Amino acid sequence: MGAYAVARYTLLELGRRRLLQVLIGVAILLTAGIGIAPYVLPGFRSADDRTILILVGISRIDGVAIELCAFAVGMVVINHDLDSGAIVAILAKPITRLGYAAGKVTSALFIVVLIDAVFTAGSMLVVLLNGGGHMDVMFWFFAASSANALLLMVLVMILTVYLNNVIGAAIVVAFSFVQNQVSDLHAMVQSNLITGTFAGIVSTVWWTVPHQLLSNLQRDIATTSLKVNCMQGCPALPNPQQYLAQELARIPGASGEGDIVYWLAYFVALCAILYLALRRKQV
Amino acid sequence: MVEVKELRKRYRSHDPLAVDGLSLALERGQAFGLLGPNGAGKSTVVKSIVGLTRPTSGEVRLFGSTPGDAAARARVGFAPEDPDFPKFLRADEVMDYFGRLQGLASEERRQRGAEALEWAGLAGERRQVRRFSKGMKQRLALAQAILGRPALLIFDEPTADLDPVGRRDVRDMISQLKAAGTTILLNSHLLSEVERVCDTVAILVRGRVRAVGPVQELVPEGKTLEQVFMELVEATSAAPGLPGFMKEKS
Repeated sequence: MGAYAVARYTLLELGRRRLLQVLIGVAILLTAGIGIAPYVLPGFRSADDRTILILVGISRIDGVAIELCAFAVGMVVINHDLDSGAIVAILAKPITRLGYAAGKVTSALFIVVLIDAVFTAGSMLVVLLNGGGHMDVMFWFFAASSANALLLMVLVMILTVYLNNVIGAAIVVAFSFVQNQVSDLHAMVQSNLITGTFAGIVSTVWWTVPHQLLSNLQRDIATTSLKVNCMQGCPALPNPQQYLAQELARIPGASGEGDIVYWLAYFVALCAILYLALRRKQV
Repeated sequence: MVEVKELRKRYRSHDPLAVDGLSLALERGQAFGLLGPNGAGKSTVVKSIVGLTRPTSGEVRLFGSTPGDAAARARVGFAPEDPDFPKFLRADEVMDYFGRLQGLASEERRQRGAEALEWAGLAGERRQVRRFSKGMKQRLALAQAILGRPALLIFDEPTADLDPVGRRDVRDMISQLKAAGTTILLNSHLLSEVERVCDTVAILVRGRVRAVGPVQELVPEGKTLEQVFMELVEATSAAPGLPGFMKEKS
């Protein structure tokens, strides 16, 4: 009952925050803009041309928008109770700290997944109106983006129990940047472009800190691009297939089951840390 | 109802003790006043009783249990110092939220919430909490505190930062609750407030109880509570004189 009440009213509060509404509005407008762009900009005559532009646009803009929304939610969902002092009145009521933490995580999770669902539906509609295709890879792109954003969101929530929310978010942004670099390096290790001791270090870091879940969207974009560019033959590329294989080796592939289990374990662990942080918190 | 034994609280290892070996007991039907200057440790005692801070040592019992026990806290109504509530909610939503936390059924929440807001002068208020004045937040704090029909009501500096009219109104509301037989723990540095409401008083200075007992026993004939309080406080902290530069004639 207590956790439900916390979740319910946190959702109501989040729904009333202008920042979140603005972020979602901007992302929806940009997604629509991506759908219109190939018809307005010159040089996108074929369906594949348009698809590439749309997929690149969606992967850049929606990926960032989902992350920004997750940051915005993570920054306010607990910190504003702490910052305003509202948490004093809330925790003096007969609710356990576990109930409070569960309510906060549930509401934050719900709203980020909801936002992600809106982006997914909008982006799929845009692709569908432009000829369709790539639906499954787009779905997994959004699923992976959502999962990554959720992990970062819980990290922000943990840090905001102790720190100012802007500082907490800045730390997680830096962490996210490192995560991206590790993902790229790990892809190179898997393709034997990096070997030896450094490869060992990269693999250790990859399996020690929570790493990003990935889809095959970037690989799909690379494959489609090559197909478009070599439709009339590729005089500059005597062996396009070999070139594609080399390009794909640099791009991380979709995460496997092991990565998903690993993500889940990390998510549960971070939620447990958040609970312990709130349990120890004296207000 | 409440038993505090040898309570000590130090927030950080280098900080002085905020509360230093405090013991007190609160009986049913009492109106107990915690008096003390700013920084005496009054709010720390109150927060320890409602489980918001952990004692460094000592013990706090609340209705025979610990403050961490949600069932024990269900019998307490708490109006915190400088109260605030989720900023984007309206008063009736705060009441529903807190009613749910209190475990009240839907009909009870609706009825008690409306009555409590009416009593606190906030009926029909449609603005979000972030638009509330301090006085309105204080009224909302009182309204949410009584929501669960508590056996014990704790008020932490309920009239701090209020204008004279707000002070009078809040004092009247607390007096009504006392008249209704609710046990009250009032934490304040305003002597008149405590004198008016409480039958038993503890005076805290620097985390220690300097005097405790019924007001009549604590205040000798021919003296006022303010005089007793000042004597106890000044015995431990002399007021510094003006800085030198302020004494120079311009």
